[in-house]
Amino acid sequence: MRICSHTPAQPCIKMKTKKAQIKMFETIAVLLIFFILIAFGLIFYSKVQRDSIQDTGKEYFELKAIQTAQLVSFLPELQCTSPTSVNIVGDACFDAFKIIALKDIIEDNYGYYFDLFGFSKITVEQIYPLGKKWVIYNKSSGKSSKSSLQIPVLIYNASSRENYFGVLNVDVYE
Amino acid sequence: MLMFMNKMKKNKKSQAEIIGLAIIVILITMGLLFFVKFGILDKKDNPKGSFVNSELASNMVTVLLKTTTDCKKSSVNELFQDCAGFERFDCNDDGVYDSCDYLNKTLGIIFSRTLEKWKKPYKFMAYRGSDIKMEKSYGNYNKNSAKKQGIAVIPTDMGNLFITLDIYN
Repeated sequence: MRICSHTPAQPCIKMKTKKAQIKMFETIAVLLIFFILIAFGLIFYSKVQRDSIQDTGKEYFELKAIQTAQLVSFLPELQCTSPTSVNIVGDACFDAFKIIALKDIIEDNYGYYFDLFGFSKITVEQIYPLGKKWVIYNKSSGKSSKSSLQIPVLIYNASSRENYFGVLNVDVYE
Repeated sequence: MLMFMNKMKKNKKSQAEIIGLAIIVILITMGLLFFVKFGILDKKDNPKGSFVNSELASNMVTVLLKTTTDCKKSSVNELFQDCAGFERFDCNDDGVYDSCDYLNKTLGIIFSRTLEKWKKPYKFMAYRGSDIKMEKSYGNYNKNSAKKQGIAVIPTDMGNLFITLDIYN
């Protein structure tokens, strides 16, 4: 249907311009929605990536705490040995005298133990009967965020031949 | 000819609109897929929590049984053997056989200073068959929720005594 076929030229051009304008607006609107969708996608993707990086960092930090706790648990400098054979090692058992001695050993070989434990605080606490708390290693990074672990251990007193219930506390600083 | 041209134009326009719609649908679908992938499906389990509970449960039982008590310097393991057997231990020398009471007291102290202090829901049981010798629990936990278990078997005069410690997430 041609609206401007019997009308003067001027209104016909106006009509055509209006149509073109509407089409242009339509194209702009489509482009605008397209770019908005892309922007949303990018924002979402960046957020997901950021969260993923944060999670990986947190996971690494927690794995470091587990690694440190396991290192301390199997440290020959702390483990109980059988009175008859040094090759028989007690399960989850620390020798009370070795705990006392380790502090001095660490002070003398600080570099070696820093490579092992990094920025962390390692303590052994006697829970039953209620007794001492030994700070074996303490090197803070100055940051407040830390990952903590508690593992029950046996504290063997070789002089009285008694076993005490203890807890190994490991705080790893970021 | 003019009508054919108009038809062609209309067809092209509708095709372009369909393509636009398809693109929007694809974009929305991709967005939904992203959300499902990263928001719902990608929930990793906590390695620290799993390790801690597993170590706690197994070490707790091992260490607990070897701990020396005030009752004639006997271990928790020996007290369990006596309590589940004929009960011949007189810890206070007052003529009353009290290994079970001593055991209950000792375990109460240790659990209150460890698992209860750390707010870890747990269930401790010592049983022989259907006979439950001792039961202790703390915190709100669902029987079906994830747990780590520490287990030990103590031979007694009347058969094996099973010790279990369930630590819930």
